[in-house]
Amino acid sequence: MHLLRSMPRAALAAAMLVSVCAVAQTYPVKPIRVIVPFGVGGPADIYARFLGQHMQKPLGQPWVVEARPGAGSIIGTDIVAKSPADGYTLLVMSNTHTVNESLVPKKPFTLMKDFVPVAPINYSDLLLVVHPSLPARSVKELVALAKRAKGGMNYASSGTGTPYHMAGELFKALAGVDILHVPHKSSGEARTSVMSGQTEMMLDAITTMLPIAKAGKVRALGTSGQKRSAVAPDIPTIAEGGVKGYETTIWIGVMAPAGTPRPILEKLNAEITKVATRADVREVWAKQGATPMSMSVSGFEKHLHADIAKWAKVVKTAGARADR
Amino acid sequence: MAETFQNLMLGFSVALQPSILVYAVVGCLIGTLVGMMPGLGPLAGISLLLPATFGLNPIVAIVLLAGVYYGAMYGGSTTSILMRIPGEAASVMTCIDGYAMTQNGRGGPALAIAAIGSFVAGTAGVVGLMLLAPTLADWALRFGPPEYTALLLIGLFILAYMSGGSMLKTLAMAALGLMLGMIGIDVMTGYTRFSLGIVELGDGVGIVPVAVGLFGVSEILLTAGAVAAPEVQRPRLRDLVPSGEEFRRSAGPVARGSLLGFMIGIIPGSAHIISSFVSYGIERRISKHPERFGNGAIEGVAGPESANNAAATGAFVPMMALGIPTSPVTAVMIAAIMVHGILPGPMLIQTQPELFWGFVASMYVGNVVLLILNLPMVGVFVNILRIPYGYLYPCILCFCIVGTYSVSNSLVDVWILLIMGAIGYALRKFGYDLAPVALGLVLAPMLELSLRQSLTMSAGDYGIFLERPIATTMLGLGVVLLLFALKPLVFKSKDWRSEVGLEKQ
Repeated sequence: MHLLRSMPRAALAAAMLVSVCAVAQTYPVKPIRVIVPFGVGGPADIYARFLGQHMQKPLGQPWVVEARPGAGSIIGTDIVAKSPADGYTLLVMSNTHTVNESLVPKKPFTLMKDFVPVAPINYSDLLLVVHPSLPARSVKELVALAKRAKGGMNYASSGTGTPYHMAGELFKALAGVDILHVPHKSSGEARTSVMSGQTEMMLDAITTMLPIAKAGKVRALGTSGQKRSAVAPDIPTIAEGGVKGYETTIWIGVMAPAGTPRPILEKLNAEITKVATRADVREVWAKQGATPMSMSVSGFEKHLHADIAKWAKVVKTAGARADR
Repeated sequence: MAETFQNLMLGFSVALQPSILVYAVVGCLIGTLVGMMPGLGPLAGISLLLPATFGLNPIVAIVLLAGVYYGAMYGGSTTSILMRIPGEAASVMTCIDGYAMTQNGRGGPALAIAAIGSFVAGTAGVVGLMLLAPTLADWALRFGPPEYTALLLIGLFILAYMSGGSMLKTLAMAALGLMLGMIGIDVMTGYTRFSLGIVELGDGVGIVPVAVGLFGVSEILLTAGAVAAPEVQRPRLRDLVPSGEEFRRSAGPVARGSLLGFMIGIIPGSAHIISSFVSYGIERRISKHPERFGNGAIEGVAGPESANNAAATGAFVPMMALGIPTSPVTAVMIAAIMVHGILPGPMLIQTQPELFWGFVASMYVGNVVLLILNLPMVGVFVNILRIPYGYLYPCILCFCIVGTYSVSNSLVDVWILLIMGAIGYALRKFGYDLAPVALGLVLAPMLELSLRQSLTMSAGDYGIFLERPIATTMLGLGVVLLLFALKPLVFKSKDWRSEVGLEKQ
């Protein structure tokens, strides 16, 4: 029975393989719909559109970006999960997705089962800032202060489960301190609260936080990457500052519905990598604090698995869970 | 002062360049149309337009988007006044007296006053932005969760002054609104509440489909169910101009609405929408003839319309002076300039003077453009009423559905619209006022979040509300408001409600 059933499937697969090779050569023959499950004007949206401007020519087809925000990226992502796996619907995703794998166990899709990786786009560092009234001038002093305060300090984030929240939880876990999490509705509101001293510290995108730190409204203590940020080379990394092994960034990438033919993935990966590594693109992104990431399809897959495992640990330690 | 003047001249030299002026006009025009479209508000308008601005230079981009933003604030009043359909959420209060005026044959003056009030408020707001932006922005920063909680509580207490019907019915409707507001993801913990497993409900019930459904769709159903079709109006030209009496009665509400709206607009957060509710409540409270409200009082149009336009301008203060988006709309506008490599922040006014002053000047220009655009259009819009209802209403229903769907391409929103239409129809048959539902829905999530943020900050100590001067003052004010509202209940004395027979309803 089992064998009988799988016979036509094998034949179908063989037939598909033949047609797929043909497909990849002609792909794309119609516009590509790119779903961004985040708000219009957010980094994911902006970089997706930026990529689109440069992808249109080599692909010969429009790259139509559609923002479908909501429910912490789940609404838009689910739309892509349920779309045909023909390479004409793509998902722009970020580490929100890898965090959600452990943070939101009940959701209509599983990232690595319902999607296949295409390519990463870029990453941006986070900047750890504190309100200027706080008597901490370095990461080390901040950790000491937090240890003395024994849970009496708090940090702002743009919402539960966002990369900013997780970056804070990772800081707590690695530095061995207890700091209260105060979620806000948007990163704008969170930024306001740390500028005004309502909350004491925050990890925020370096792009938006650096001008505020330069104006003296907050004090920058460290950047979150493995290396110092190109836009603020004088600020040490958090790991340099004494929190060993701390490394987190906001990165975005592209995935496609599971079952999308491999040759299409490879073709998209090659084109995206070409754009991301161009000198002029690198320069524009550098101004905004973003660094291009280039990985092969299988390299990106490994990166995704590693990231999911990393956040699963943090979520477990933090005891955070969202039952969406 | 001289420096400001010099800077402003720089701004006008930028804003009056034909290539920029044309975008300001186009922005205002698109905004007006977007605002008039039921369901489509300023956020949807500028989100749709954002990608188109990537190819423009940053000043043009921001002038265009700002035009769309305040254009939509102007345009939102048109459908509210003529058809009782809030074009965007901030126009909910305008529906009540604006539409009553239309039914009394004074639709033209209502539209004219809405446009003039918006112009005054918008211009006053720009003056405030220009002169006081850095100072006010620092003040706005002192608004933390406890202050926000106090502000929202005042919003809740104002409910008592908002409605014309019986107090019990008002409170029941407010409770319904507050409960609807509890649906969705709890921001503090990430848990979803009352979403019935529908992913889209995770973001909560949107104010737009609810407002359009409760006010607009229910009106269409009521008209369809009326025994005799209402007579088609034939407005005459001399009925379009507000009378001297109407001008006189509008002056105070416009002034108060402008000030109030601007102050609320500056405050970081999403409370802008309550400015029109609070303005309506205040106007009603201080009016010598509160019974006229709900039956076509021009003050009920002038106040809220001015307040929502002033709030729109006020929102630019923290955006420009600090680089912080205080509302989703300003967040999108910040994205529009960031795409061009301009980083918003506290230094923006110094590092990009052409951008800031060009933007300020373009807002003066934009407000004039909108006034010129809207006043003559009053005559055109009013003539929509000549269309027999049998043809007009099905078209409007289509617009409502299309508009609501297009905001987030969500069929769930359309269902909410239709269900709310049916609920609104039933409630109005029983004589319930619907504005408190809208206010409750808006307030619930914000109030809950800011209250819980405050308590997280103080580790559970309610004393935080009494330690902070701004919060304490506002809470005191709120309590006074509440006591005034309770007085007639406690002392059994008659207030205006019973005098005019409203309590018997």
